[in-house]
Amino acid sequence: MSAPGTLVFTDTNDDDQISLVDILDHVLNQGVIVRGNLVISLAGVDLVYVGLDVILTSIETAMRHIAATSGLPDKAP
Amino acid sequence: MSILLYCITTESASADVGPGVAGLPVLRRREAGLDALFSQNTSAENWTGASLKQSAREFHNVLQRAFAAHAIVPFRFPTLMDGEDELVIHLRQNAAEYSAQLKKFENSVQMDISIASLEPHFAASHTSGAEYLRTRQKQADELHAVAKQIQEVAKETAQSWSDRPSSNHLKLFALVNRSSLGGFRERLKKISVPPNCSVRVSGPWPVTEFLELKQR
Repeated sequence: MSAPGTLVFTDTNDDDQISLVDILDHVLNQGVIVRGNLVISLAGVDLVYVGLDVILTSIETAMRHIAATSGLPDKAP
Repeated sequence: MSILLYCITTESASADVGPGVAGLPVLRRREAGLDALFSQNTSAENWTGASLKQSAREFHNVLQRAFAAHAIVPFRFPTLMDGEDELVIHLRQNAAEYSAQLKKFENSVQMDISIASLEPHFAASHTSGAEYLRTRQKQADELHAVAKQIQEVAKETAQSWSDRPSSNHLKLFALVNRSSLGGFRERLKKISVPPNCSVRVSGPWPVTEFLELKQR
């Protein structure tokens, strides 16, 4: 049996209407990307590499990728 | 000092945008005829302290308040820089491009329309891969037919259209003048949504899909 078609309007100015999925889709997937690099550290330990085109990855994975593309030894700091 | 960027707007846009991510004040840096909105923190890892859900909502709230009356060019979350000096360099290098986009979309908003099939991709009755593919094609055709209907109904209130297909839904983006927003919504209420299909219209959002920027 077919479900009836639905048409729903959501106003982004109304906090009660807007869904978290819509917000995440916009703030994470849309907008300007600034190229750059940043390493987030905690207590002197590098935890997360943030490519400023919004790539979030572990520092180990990032270093492996860098090593693979630059010919450097495959070793995280 | 680490800074989190929200958006770029024009110098004339000076509305109060409230608190930023993590409750930090939202600051403005004026440079090259532009305002950059940002918050600053002692260290970059402080931005990752709260949950993503909370931070995303706080970030969204700043953008929506800044966008309430003026065009903005939003940054993705989290766009971090090492400090204001880096921001100033970025603004000087890209001022012409940002200014052109803010001017081009100064009276525009973006409306997102998500058209989805409510039918599962694969039902137990499917007996072959060919049948599965035919079902997928039929669903995709139905979604495109709805998109065509929407574009036809709202063509006089939309300045431009863009779309992005996904596995089981089609995302349609409409560029709409702020003054035509009410008319756009009213026209969309006239569409006939077929059974087993859902249409979700959200907005107004800052213009992002139609930006023509090197960094986008």
